[in-house]
Amino acid sequence: MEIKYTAQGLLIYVSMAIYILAFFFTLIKYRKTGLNLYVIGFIAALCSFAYRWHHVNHIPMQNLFEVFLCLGMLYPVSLFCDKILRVGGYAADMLIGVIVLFPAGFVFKSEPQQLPPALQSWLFAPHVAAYMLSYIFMSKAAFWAFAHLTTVKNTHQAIVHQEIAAYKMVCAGFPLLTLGLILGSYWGQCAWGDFWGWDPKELWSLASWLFYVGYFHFRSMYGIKYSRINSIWVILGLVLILITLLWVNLSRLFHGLHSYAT
Amino acid sequence: MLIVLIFIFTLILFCIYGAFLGADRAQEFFNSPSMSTPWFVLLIMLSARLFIFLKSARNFGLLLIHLGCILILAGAMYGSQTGHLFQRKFFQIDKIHRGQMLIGQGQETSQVVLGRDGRIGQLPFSIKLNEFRIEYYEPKFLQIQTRQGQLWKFPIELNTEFDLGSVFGKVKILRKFQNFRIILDNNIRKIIDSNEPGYNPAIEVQIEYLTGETINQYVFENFGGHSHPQDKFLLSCTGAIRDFISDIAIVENRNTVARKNIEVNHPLHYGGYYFYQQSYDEQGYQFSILSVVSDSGLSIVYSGYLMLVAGVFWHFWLSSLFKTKEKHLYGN
Repeated sequence: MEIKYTAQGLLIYVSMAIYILAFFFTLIKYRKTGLNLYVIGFIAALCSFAYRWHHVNHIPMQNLFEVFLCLGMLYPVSLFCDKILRVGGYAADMLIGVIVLFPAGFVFKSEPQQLPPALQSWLFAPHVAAYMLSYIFMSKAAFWAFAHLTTVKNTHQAIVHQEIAAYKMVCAGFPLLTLGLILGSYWGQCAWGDFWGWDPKELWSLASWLFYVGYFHFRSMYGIKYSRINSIWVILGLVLILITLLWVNLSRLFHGLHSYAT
Repeated sequence: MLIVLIFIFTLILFCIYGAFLGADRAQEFFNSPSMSTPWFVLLIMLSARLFIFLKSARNFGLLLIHLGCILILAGAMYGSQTGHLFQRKFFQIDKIHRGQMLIGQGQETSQVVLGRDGRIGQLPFSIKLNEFRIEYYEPKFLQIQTRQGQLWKFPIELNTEFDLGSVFGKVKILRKFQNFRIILDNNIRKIIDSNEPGYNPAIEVQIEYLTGETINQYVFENFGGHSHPQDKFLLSCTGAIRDFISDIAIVENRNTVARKNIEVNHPLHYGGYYFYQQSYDEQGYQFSILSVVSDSGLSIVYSGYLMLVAGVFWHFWLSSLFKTKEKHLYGN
């Protein structure tokens, strides 16, 4: 764990602090103040991302530090979910913002890296961005699923609402997860001549994708009859995503073509 | 449906098992004859599901998703090693599945090394390597290391003095070269930044020891780690590699029919093959290694990709999320 005494670090810590404050105000029912703070926190996270972009001279999505920095800008997703999909959860999103910025602020090294030849492709940004967006949706889905499993006193209708909110989030995230997988595969063909290289990262991401495919089949079979199993499924899906995103890159167990992302 | 779920779980377990094997062994595992049965079962299950969708003429998105998966699987099978044997046997299409070409600068070859056992295949045309070059990022730091392992990193700024601590003295960068050359001018050795073709970037560094002794040393980007036994410090300023480029020409019947710079992410497509920049001679940059991959089945796979992506967005975004009636959210 390290503290970053740099402008980059400062911007990350400011974003985190504002997100925490926004979460606190939302919890004590000052919803409007909380939302305003959330927007300010987003602007700080956006500045942090822009600063990094300027610093490294390429879109900052190369390594885990940059990926988590990118994940910290989740306000547009919250807005989309609230206004378009009618699924709220701003407080949870503020908390997710703090959680994803924490590794960027305290765990991963921020030393700038130059893009290796393989990453100099038009597919770099859309491939990573599609995955990042889908991960945010799946995190939100896991939050709703967790809320569904842990809610005790609520009415049946409220519990069903939470399960459906989780389902909607998975529905929003799954096409992006598919797009990320397909763009990655197409990129593999362009860079290495293999649209599928059986690399550990590829296999874990396929396992995550198949897991959500299984979820859709299960839910299509039983609907909300076994709603708790649906929610467990969604949470386990996020566990697989975390393995794909973190364990594969950080563990020495998995050597592969994606090691530059560490 | 329960069988489908069990099958999906089996595939997930295979994927996780494959991830622990590593890419090479996983590739062998998933392409082994014992795995051909699950692939065919998957193809049959997807086709059966597709047939049901076609019959009921509903769920256009799901139809696209399943058709996309079928095309991806079929294309991958057709383009596989076994698929190439099949093409040879039934369609008399004799193509190399994949291999490597090692070509020296200025040389021309049509030979492809097919596998680890060194078998050779022939392309119906040949490839000439006009030039191979590596491009580097501008180095950002001069790295100085003592023989005991103490390390400093200084930005490459001309005439700025940097401190090496109370034991070693000071260091200064005097000059930058794009193309370092030594010439003889009236029998006097001169160091110049040449305008002639070539790329040999370097910097001139002055080290001032605490004793007052001053030495000038040249540090070469392309030859990192170059030092004399008497040197107290190892100096380097190598920038990271930005690109590998093979300038190649396709020669057919002694005529050049195509010419292209092959770079990572920019392969050449010609005569049913893709040519990729794979590796190079790390010592003297005298040869380039290209990988040759047959394009069989690729268009089928790409069609599958398009259908799958269109299908998931159609089904989950357009037909589910933005539907005004929410009855479908409750499932069957």
